[in-house]
Order: sequence, then structure tokens, then C-alpha cells
Amino acid sequence: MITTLENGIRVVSQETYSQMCTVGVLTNVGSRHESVTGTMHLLETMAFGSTERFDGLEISNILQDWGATRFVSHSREQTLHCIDILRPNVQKGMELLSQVVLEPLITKAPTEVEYAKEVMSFQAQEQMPELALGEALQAAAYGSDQQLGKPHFATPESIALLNAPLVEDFYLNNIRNNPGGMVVAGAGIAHDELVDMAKEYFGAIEQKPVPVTIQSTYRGGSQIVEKPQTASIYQQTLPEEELCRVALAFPVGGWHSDSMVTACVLQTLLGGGSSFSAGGPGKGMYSRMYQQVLNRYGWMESAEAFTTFADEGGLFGVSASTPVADRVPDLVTILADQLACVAIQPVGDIELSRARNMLKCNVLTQLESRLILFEDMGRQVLTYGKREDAATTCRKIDSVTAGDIQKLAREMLQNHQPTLVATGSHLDKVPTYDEVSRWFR
Amino acid sequence: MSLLVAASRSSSSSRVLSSAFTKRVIVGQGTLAASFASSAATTDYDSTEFPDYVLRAPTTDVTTLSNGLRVGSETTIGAETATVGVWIDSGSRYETSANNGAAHFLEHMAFKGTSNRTQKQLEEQIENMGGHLNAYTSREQTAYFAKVFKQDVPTAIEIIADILLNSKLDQVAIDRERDVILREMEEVNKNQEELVLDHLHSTAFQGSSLGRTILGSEQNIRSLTRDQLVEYVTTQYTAPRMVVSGAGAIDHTQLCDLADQHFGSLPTTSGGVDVSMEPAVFTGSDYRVKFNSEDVAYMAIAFPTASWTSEYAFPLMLMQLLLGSYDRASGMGANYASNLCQDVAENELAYSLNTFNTHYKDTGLFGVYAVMPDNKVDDCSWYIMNNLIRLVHSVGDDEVERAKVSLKAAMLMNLDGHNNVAEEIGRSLLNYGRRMTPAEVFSRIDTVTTDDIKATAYKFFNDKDHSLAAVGGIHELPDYTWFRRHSYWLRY
Repeated sequence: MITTLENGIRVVSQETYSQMCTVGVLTNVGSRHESVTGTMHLLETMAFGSTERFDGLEISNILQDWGATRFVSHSREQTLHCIDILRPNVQKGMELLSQVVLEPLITKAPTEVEYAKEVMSFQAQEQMPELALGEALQAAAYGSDQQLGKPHFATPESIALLNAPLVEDFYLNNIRNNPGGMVVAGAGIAHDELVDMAKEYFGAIEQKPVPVTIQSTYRGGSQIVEKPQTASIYQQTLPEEELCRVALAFPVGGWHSDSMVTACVLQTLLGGGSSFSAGGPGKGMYSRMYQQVLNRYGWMESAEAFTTFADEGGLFGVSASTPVADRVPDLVTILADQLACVAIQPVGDIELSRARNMLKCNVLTQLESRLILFEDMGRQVLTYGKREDAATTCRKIDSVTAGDIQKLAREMLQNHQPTLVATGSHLDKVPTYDEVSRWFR
Repeated sequence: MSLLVAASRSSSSSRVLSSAFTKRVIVGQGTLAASFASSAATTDYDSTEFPDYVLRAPTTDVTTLSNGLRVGSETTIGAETATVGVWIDSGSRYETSANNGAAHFLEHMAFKGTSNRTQKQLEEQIENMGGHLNAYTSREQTAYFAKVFKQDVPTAIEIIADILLNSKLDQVAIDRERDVILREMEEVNKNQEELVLDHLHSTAFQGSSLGRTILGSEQNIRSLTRDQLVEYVTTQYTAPRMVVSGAGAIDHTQLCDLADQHFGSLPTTSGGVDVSMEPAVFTGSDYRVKFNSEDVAYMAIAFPTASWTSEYAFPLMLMQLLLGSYDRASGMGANYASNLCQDVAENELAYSLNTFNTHYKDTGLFGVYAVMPDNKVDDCSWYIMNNLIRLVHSVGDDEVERAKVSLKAAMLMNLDGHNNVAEEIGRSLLNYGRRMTPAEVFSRIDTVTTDDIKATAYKFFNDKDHSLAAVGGIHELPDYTWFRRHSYWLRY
């Protein structure tokens, strides 16, 4: 059920009859709207800190007193604040949440800003190589002058530029006074109850001019990022071997595209993962990136297909890593082959049916979780203005044909320049962008 | 000392089953240790009121088959998927130094083909139906479980029975798997926390089976024979030590029938003898691996505690929350509700720190694992010991109340998703002989007093020997007697 309040806030909920409930607020503002990289990252780090009415330690304590756990995250497009809380305390929880979202202290809490910057510096130092590859991918595909090409995470350089007035200004102009871009969602709560609470705690905010989403256009291109691979204390693992990581991607439609589900099925069909991974059958052992890549080439450390989606467009690609310098050119050829193959030849019936089943099972399994149910409802309403149930999603997955997949693959490979990125070691062995582009002509 | 607790009111977690199950026995109190049941007399149950959301919790249906195998399930109305699996009262603890690693080796071999299907057929069947098949081996338990669509539940149970009971244990496959397990060992040892906790067990329980690792020694992995694996299955996999558990889109009657069909022929005892387990013997000791080249120290310190069913189990769980955990990179700011974590955050003593509380059948380990800069080891050690021993003397009512609510929420939060529920049922039936309802758990938590916490801390920590394991840049780490000296205060 979705209800729109007078000020434009939308409320969505589902009863789960469980003893805990997850309630929270999502906004349609993300790192793509920042003027200084890391602004949202800083807000996320400071979230559930001091507010007009409580100080940070008090909030920590009362959350514990109410049996609540808090979660905060932000993506390129959206921000999420929520708490998972014992049911009888949900009213108090919503009130606290409204404080956290609507009345956080920023310029009035300079020590918290400094502390958050320190935490962000640790995170920037210990950034996982996979994340670095993802940042490079967006930058190469869209260019860092466009919203989708900007870095998502704070960098050591951008952290230095962040200060309290700047962050507060961004917060007030983009998040705080934007009820039309806010969704209050709840999993494990009665709808009327949630609507009443949303009115009481979020009903007073008024709409001011909204942040501008400037559409980004896909360009394609290359980024080779030298990054020292340091042993991560955060990960608590010993330094890994010096890996060269490469990703090759092409543009597909975004959240609103008809082919989005097709892209997801294709991602599952290509599948893949790490050459050494725990878990039994079900992790995609019979997907192509396992059968045709990882099982065949022992020097490959990981190989997998990926998708990223945004409002105006998305990326479909394959990535892989190897510690063997001499194999880096082969690795790139193999990735290109995998993409070309789906465009040239229709996928088989058995692998298609397997991919559909795996994707459906993953969707349903994820939705077993109250937290994910909450997140899914909120994101759907923010993105589509409505909510689709799991059965509909499963039907869409079932209707994807081999023809749809081939059409998608042909469209992306024939009409667009590739995006090629690499990080880690042995970067001199990566074939040039021009060479890789030629393979697809 | 009335450490515990109300119990029997909500005791029978099993619903009365239809008469179709007359040949099966309904589990009531099960094998629950006396301590859980005995102290019940002191509480007036009728005056206890549980909130609606606790009483409304779904029931756990439990049925015992004639050979002693237990079937437990919780149904979620409207679910499209289910998790089903087998939880076995068996793990590396039941091994000897000669066959240490066998339980884990078997877990690997289970996926390598049976007398009914090849490895490829097994893998393809699961993947084609969109399912997941997984397994784990711990020190005391082994589990095999599958996540499937509701119409595939019968297939899933059949496959799990097949890989458990008809595993081919082909010699060539065994030899090939040795390298895979050695590779896994490398991966496990890359994880400093697992490595340090393995070292901790091996020093704390030196000379007994609880001290050995789950994977076994490299020598054992290279030399375990097919016969040793077969022997392990025939002695360990007996019906009363196994639980078939299901959650989600489950029909209990159907699950019982499936369990009967596929596991009904399992023996009740192994050649007429019950399998015994080597008792755990604790030795106060430490184990240090110093790398002067490293500037990070990884350390775990622990005291021996009590079993799953001990009257101290709930106070210990609360103490774990009272000490808490901390991670510098988690972005939680300096706002930690735990005293220890505040000390650590304010003085920048550690990159991360967490309090662990592990229970076994006859003992447990309670302690703190910390990852520290090498020049903070001395300070951090002091704060850890000070906060541990503080629980003996000056823990406050407000902290305890806070920990109680957190524990309730954490226990309910853990039940998010069918996999977690199925695992909880499997583990509960093995550990307690039954599954506690949320109402019972809440009532057990509520009756713990601040004095109970102090008494528990006194019993296990105060002036007691500890075990410690540390790896990395530990040149600052104080010696054993320093820690021993800080296990008591000379003031009150």
C-alpha cells in the first residue's frame, strides 16, 4: 500500500507479523548530486550522531534501550536511513529517526565532523580493490564531468575539501526540504500506523527547490588506475598476491528500461565469481564464467559478469583478475569473447532456464529478510512511484527469451564504444583501448 | 542465587500433531539439562505478561521418528521458498588425533558424487532448479542444507540424504580433494581472526579434542584414508544425533514423511554403542607468534566458562553485549554504549575489537579479540582486563537493562530469513533438545539480575587462569603473569 501525504512524502509498508519491524526514510538524493565528492559519504558517516534534541552518545544508548539497530547507506542516486526495532518501540523509533533525518547537527557539531573525516580517511586508505575498479568504470563510461561519472566514495584529496558549512548547505538544500523526494517505508508494521507516524514526524517539512538530476550520456572510454595494493587491516587478511583487475563494459538501459530484467538474466547466465570460493552448488558453478573461463584457465583468480543501473542508463560488463602478468592480454581477450559470444549465438534453453530459476530464487530469498523487504519497497517507490510484488518480478524473469538476450547483446556491442578499465598490477600488459575497440568492429 | 529463570510455562515448543504420527513420539522437554528446568519453581508465571508480538510467534513443530531422528520445522505462511537441512551432533570434537579433519573432509566429499548421481549430475540438478546446497562443519556440529522453491522440497531432502548416506568416497576423488582442502587451509589462515581463535583453542584445550582444528593437520589432510572416512560416517551418523530441520514454505507432515522415507533406515546406535566425546580440559596458557616486521597485533584472551545448557548461559550472553564490539572503520563515531568500546574509541587503542562468547557441550570460552596498532598493545590490554574485571564489581543496573533489551532484539533479529530459522531449529534441538519460544527466551533474559552478572563474572574471571593467543607485532604484549595479576582487583 502506498499513501501520499499532503506535503508529498510517500508512505509504503507491508505487514510481516514478525516481532521486529524495520522502518526508515529513503530520499532520492545520492552522490551524483554532490558538488564536492564525499559530501554524502560524510553525512552517512555522521548519521545517528548528535541532533537538536539528543547528543550522539545518548542516541547510541537509547537505540540499545529500545532494542534497535540502525543502518545508513547511500548510493549514487539514493540515501537510506533505517532502524530495525522491537515492535512496541516503533513509535519512539520513528520519532528518533525524524530527529536523525531532519535535525542533525552539522555546523554545531564540529568535533563530530572532524571525527567522521578521520573515519573516512581510514576507509579511503583501505578501499577494497573491487570498489576502486567500480569507481574507475563509472568515470571511464561517463566521464568525471557528468553526474554518473563522478566518484562515489570520498578520496583522500576530497576529504580535505569537506567542511561543516559546505556539508550543511548541501544537506539543507537537497535532503532536508525535499518531501517530494522522500519515502517513508516500513516492513512489519500496519499501514495506518505508519501513515500516522509519518504525518506526525515528517508532515511538517515543506518542499523547496529540488536537486537537479542532470542526465548523463554514455561515452565509453578507458581508465587505467595505478593503485598500490596495501594490506587491509579492516579486512584482516594478509596482503593478497599482486593482481591485475580488468573490467570491460557496454551500456544498457537503466531502471526504467524494458530490457533491465533481460540484462539481469544475462548477468546470472554468465555468472562467475572467484576461483576459490566457499559454498556448494547454487553459486553459479554451471554459469558460463565458471564453465568456460574459471574452470578452463587456472591462472584466473576471479571472473564474473556485473550490471550497474541508474535512472537514465546502466552498464553491463564482465570483469576478471589474474596474478600472472603474461596472461593479462589473454584475460582481456577472453572477456571480450564472452561478450561477443552472447551477441553472435543465442543462449541455450537449459542454461537460460537455469539462469531464470537462479535469479528468481535469489530474488525470493533476499525478500525473506525484513530489512531487504523494507529497502526494496522504498527503492521501488522512489524509482517507479509504485511497488511491484515478487510474483510479478518472477513472471517478468520467466518471460525473458533467448531472442531478448541476443538482441540486448547485439544492441550494446554494435552501437556503442566499449569501456575498459584496469587497476592493480601489471597494467602495462593491458591491451590498448583502441585495440580492444577494434575487436568489436 | 536465583540465576535462573522461568521455564516450563512455555516449555513445549511442539504443537500436538495429527494422529497420522502415532508411531512417532512428540518431543516435550527433551534432553534439556536439569538446570534449565529445576529453578523454575521460584517464579510466579501467572504474573508474567508477555507482549502480543512475542506470544504470537510461530510455533516450532517437532516430531521424533521411531529410530530417534528428530524433525523440526517452522512454517511461514505465503512463502515461496524453503530451507531444509540436516544438523548432526558431530564435528571435529569427536575426532582423535589420528583422524582429525575427517568430518570436514567428508563435507568436501559429500559434493563429489554418490552411488545414485555423479558430481556433475548433483551440481546440475541443484543449479537447474535455482537451488543452493551448502554445508558446514564446526567443532561440535555438522550441517547440510538447501534453499529451494517450495515444490522442490522433496527433491532437496532426497538429495541431502543421498549425499550424506550414499557418498561414493571415490579414492581418486579423495586424493584430488586433499589439495583443495590444503588450499582452503591457506585461505582460512589468511584470516587472522580465525587463525588466532584456532591458536586460542589449541592452547586453552591443549591435549584434548576441542583443541584441535576443524580442518585437521596438514599431515592428516594428506594421509586420511577412505576407510577412516567410512568409519567416521558409520560411527557418527546415527539417527538420534541428527535433526532434519525446515523453515519457510514447509508442511511439517510432509517433512516428517520425507524424513522417514529417506532417513528412516538410519541406525539408532552405532553397533550398540553410543559415541563418546573426549572431555575438554582447560589449561591456562598462552601462545605467541611474534613478527617484529609487523606493526599490527592480533590478540585473543579468554576464560573458560560453561556449556550451552548451563544456568550461566544467559548471564554470559548479556556480558558479551555489556563489553560489546568496536570497529574503527564502521563509521559509528565515538558513540558506543559499551564502556570498553568507549575506552577504546576515546584512546584510539584498537582498529577493531569484539567480545566473543562460545559455548560447547561441557564448557565454553568467553573473551575479547582485538586488532591493535603494535604501540597500543600494552594500554589496550589494561583496558580489556579492567573492563572484564569491572563486571565482577561495579556493573550498573542501567547497563544490564540495556544489554537485556539488546539481547532480545539481537535474538529476534537473527531470525531474519528461512536459512537462519532452519539453522536455529537444528542447533537448538541438538544443543537443548528443544527450541525455546521467544516468550521463554524473553523470560529467561528478564530474570537475570545485576547481581547474577557479578556472580557470573566472579565465578569465571575473578582471580582465574586465562588463555591467550597473539600474532603479529606483539613486542609490547605483557607476559602471562601480568594478565593473571589483572584478573582481580585489590579494591572494591
